Amino acid sequence: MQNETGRAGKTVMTALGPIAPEELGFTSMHEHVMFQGAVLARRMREMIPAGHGLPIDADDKVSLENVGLLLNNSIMAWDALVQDDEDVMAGEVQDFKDAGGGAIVEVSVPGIQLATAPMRNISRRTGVHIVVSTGFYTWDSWPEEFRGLGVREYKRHMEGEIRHGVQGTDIRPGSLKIALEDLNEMEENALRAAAQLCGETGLPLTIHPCLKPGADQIQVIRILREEGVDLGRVVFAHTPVVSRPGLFRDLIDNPGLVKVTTELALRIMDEGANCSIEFENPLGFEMMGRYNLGDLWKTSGICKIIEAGYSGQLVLGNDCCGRTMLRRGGALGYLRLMGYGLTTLRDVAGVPESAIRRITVENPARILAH
Amino acid sequence: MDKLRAGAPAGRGAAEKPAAEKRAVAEGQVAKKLAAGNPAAVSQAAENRGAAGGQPSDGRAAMTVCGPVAPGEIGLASMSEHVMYDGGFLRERLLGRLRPHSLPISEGDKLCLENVGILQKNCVLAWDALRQDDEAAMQKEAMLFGRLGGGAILDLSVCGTRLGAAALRRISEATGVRIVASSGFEAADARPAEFSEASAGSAGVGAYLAHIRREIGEGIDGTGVRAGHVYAGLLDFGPAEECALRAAARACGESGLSMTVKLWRGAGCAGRAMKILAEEGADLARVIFANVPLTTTPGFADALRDPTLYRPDTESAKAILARGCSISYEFSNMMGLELADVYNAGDWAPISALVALIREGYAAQIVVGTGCAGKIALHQSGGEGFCRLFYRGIPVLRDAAGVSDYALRLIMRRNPATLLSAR
Ligand SMILES: [Zn+2]
Repeated sequence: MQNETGRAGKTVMTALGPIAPEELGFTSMHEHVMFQGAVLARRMREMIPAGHGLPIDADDKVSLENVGLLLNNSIMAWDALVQDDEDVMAGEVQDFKDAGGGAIVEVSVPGIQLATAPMRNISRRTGVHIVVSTGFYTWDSWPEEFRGLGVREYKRHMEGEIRHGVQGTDIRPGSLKIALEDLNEMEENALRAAAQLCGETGLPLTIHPCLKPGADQIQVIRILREEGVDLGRVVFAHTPVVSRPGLFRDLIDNPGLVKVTTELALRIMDEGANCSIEFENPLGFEMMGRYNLGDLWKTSGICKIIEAGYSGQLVLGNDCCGRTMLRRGGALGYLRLMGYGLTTLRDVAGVPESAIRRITVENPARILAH
Repeated sequence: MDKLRAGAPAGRGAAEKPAAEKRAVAEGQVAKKLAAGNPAAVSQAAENRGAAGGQPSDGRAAMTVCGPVAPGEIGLASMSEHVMYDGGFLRERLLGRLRPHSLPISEGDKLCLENVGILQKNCVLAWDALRQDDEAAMQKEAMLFGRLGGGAILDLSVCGTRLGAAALRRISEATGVRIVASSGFEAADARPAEFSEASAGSAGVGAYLAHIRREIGEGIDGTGVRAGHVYAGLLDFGPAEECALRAAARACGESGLSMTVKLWRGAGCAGRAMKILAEEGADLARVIFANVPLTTTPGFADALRDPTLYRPDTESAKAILARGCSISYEFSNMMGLELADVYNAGDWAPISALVALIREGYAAQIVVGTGCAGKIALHQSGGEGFCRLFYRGIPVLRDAAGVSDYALRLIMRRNPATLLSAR
């Protein structure tokens, strides 16, 4: 697609203004810096069994004393599902910088968006480029004012942010983000509006896929094509490379059900779109009968995509979305990508340096430049 | 509270120690919530420990750190634990195997909220993560376990890793949780110098045996706290470890105590170990093998290439169970070694294998624990401590796997009572 010359004159819009794509360096393509996960908590808390007996209350703050329980049962306390402290987040971003990170794409949008104003401070303090996003999270998370609108209204809102700044700040977005829960009419309208803006402005579009049958990434690609989008500008986040039953009881007698499945990822990439896979810090749901699979299968899936020759359309991230995913909250934060992901790909799986550079530096620069 | 006090073991000094007062100091938020949220669990805890201490009447007794108790007073037991423990040897053992990293941590760092995530993934990066050296903290861990219904803890710490036997007695007195201490020897790299590889040889067995006999008969380090179980750790299985295993087997044979053999490097040497145990007169029905792999164990690079190589596997366990030995499974807290290429694949595969063994009729030869072996595993500092048996172990077996109440009672109560009680 775009080679070095094709990129000439293009810039990446960051929280501190436009920069040349070459300045990005090592880029995490899916992150949350300031984050509000109350919607996720509300959705999941209904699934907590009554009488679970775990000694934790919804209003407890994350501490050394409860973090062990929270890591295995993330939705037990609201505090575990926010990233609301600017100083803490600056420290986390500094970790990323110290480990060789250059840029972060912050994909929090209305529904999970907490504050955009701190991005400029955090970027200045750490020297890490932060690309903020405009768009919409899943419909159930939206403030009332966004419900039930048409394509034109959603587009007008995002256009305003692109022109003037996100969330009432003068920080202009360098990325579009749409999350789909049901792909109902309002989500479809928001998706089409973002697709049109992707075509008109050249901003990259990250899509958090719908997990329900009949609205998967391939169906979304159909909508994007209808809107004339260049799929090379699109990143499908959370691309699944592992299939497995959700509940442990369905796995016990059928261990073969845990599988690496790269078919969907390769199909998305054959259509010309990019895939993001995140080395997530763990979120546990043990008391709901779920289980932690660890990172083996996902890492293996990433290796298979690279081996199949698709490293030119793969990007990575950590998708930190809650305090217990941070280095200062019981996990590795943005360091998961370097401290586990890249060292494993490079040192254990033998992925060549050129492919790692493509995935973490060249692809992000190409995708973010407009 | 009265019930808890009544349940305190009848060890030396139990009557005059203000146990309730100590508990109050140790209790924090988590404890209060456990008490508030689990009234049933609290009363069950007292029940688990029996109505009161007292001398056993049927001739069999478990030797706890507070003296002998009847088998019926063991209650629900966690059979693979450490209480006061220094696992620093693990860092020395693995340091050379770690891949280079730039994680923001130094070996002298104290465990805190800012580094607990790093240390969970790589527990050997700081000494503090591998120690359980705070008596008040360990008392609280035991208290939390008791609150949920835990009756007894088998402590597999021995000379070289054990930090104070007197503390075990104080913790037991203060919490009402029975603690059984072990004698024996860790793998050769985790021992005091006088029992290292250099001292091995046939003459050595006598010295090893004398040490174990002393800890069983007189007590540990002059404390009067007597060992009620024997332990042998096998890593390289060189002469020093063979000596210790032979000595442990003889000590078990003559005392009637049970023993745990920890297979640090997997089940490859279990056959040789069982042969030696039999030669030395140990009753294999009194032997527990710990760390028996319940999955296949492909290397990291191979598993990345083909993750189907990693799967539940009962073969190693069955070879041990077929000889009449027991196995202990740990619902362990996260103590990762990612930089040593020990990959995290979750607990679903070993638990699936454990359930398969239970289904095939081996419940009478299975015991469980949480394998707490450092601060990083504790409820107060990054893990769920001994309580993981209740938070994860029992629910996953009972609710997800549908294991019968009978099998659970065997695994959690009857097998421990039988194994811990000597004639
Ligand atoms: Zn996300």
